[in-house]
Amino acid sequence: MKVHADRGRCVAAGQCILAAPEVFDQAEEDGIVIVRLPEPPAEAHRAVRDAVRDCPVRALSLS
Amino acid sequence: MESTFAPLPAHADLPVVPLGDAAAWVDLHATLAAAREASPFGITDAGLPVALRFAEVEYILKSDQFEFGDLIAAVGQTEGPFYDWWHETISAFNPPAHTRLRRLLAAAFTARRVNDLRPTIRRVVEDALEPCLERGYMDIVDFAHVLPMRIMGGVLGIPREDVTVFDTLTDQLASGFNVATSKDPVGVANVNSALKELQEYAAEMVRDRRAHPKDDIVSTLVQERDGIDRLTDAELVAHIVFMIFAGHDTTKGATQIATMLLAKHPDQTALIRENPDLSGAAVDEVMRYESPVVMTTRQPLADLEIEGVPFVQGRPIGVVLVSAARDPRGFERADQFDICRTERRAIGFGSGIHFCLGANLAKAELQEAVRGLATRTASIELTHDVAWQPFKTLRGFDELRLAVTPS
Repeated sequence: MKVHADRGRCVAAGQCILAAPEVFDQAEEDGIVIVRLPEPPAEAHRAVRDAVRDCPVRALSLS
Repeated sequence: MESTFAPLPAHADLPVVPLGDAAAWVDLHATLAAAREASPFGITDAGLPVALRFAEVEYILKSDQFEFGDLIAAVGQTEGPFYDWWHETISAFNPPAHTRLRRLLAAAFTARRVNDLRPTIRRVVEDALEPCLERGYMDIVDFAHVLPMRIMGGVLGIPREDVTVFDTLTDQLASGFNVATSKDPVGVANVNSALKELQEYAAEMVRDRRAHPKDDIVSTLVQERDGIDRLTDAELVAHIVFMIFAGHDTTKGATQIATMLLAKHPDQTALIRENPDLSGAAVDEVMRYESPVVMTTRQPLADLEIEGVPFVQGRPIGVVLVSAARDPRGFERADQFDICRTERRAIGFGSGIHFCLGANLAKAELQEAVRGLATRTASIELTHDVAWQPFKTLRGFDELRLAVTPS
């Protein structure tokens, strides 16, 4: 699993951080998503899928 | 949500959602389900077209062919201080201006910032719960009233003695979104005078925090950040007033509803009592099962059709969150309150680029309230039937008393 974030689309809702805090973070200055683990371990996959689903602007995708 | 626009002839065949009839509010879910099962779109008896099913609601909220509904124009106002204020706030903007404001404001609401505020939130919850536990009962309306105001006061840095004044002014400002108020010159004058007081207070806060930064949201927003664009003083004032307004009735309603649901579903409350970490999931389910916001509005940027139904540029559409959340096409066992559900949940914060800016703060407030209510009590019971207020697009109760036994 590879996680992609479109930082141009992101509106800093912070829902991905709530769903998968070990994989996502928010930039201090503007709240925009930071992918901490672009290739997350298997045990985080479910939380990452939740994060992708919960993003209000579809800024996250998987490959 | 009201509108003074005349309905389109093409909407004449849509099922009517009689939100102007008090009877429709007794069981709002049944009212909405009747229309939703007939069609993806309905029309209120006031002539506002409404999206009812999960797929269409999601589509409209996430689509870049729509902008936020002009709530002030919808109630018949096209000028004046109230109109000007609303059009300075983030809701009224589209990208790229929206994107800029969103990023500047979002810095104050990141998950990390909200976590820093948790001790303040927890203390407010404890203080509000304590007297209820001593008395053995709780008036939900009082509890839910005190909580968001003190928390919002705490995070914005409003002194405790000013909180009541804010409460009254915010109610007065909120009345501006009603057709009746905006048609009455006295009503309009009251709205504008409340707005002026709130703006003056906000301007004073900006001056004060610039000179003496504190650990609050206003200080975060006014801070100079090298090499990064920042909010102008006018933008700061408009948005401080906006945050006071947006965090007021919404959070009050959500707190009332969360408390009511814990009392009504002791099996679910017992789960939280055993495992307080479930309070996050419980709040997501509260925000799905009984969203405090009945609907939000969007308007098309150009004439368009969805599912063969035409919509006109600049004419608002009600996007009914309460209905989408109970759509069996969107959720399994949609009518069941289940804090352990694993599919998509909270819909009450909206979606798309206007997704609630304060959602993380609201969630933290509600989580602390739910955790406190479950863990500090041995039981919470309703002492009479639940009666929802009619005609309120921000939902809640006039009164509701609970019996509480301390743990």
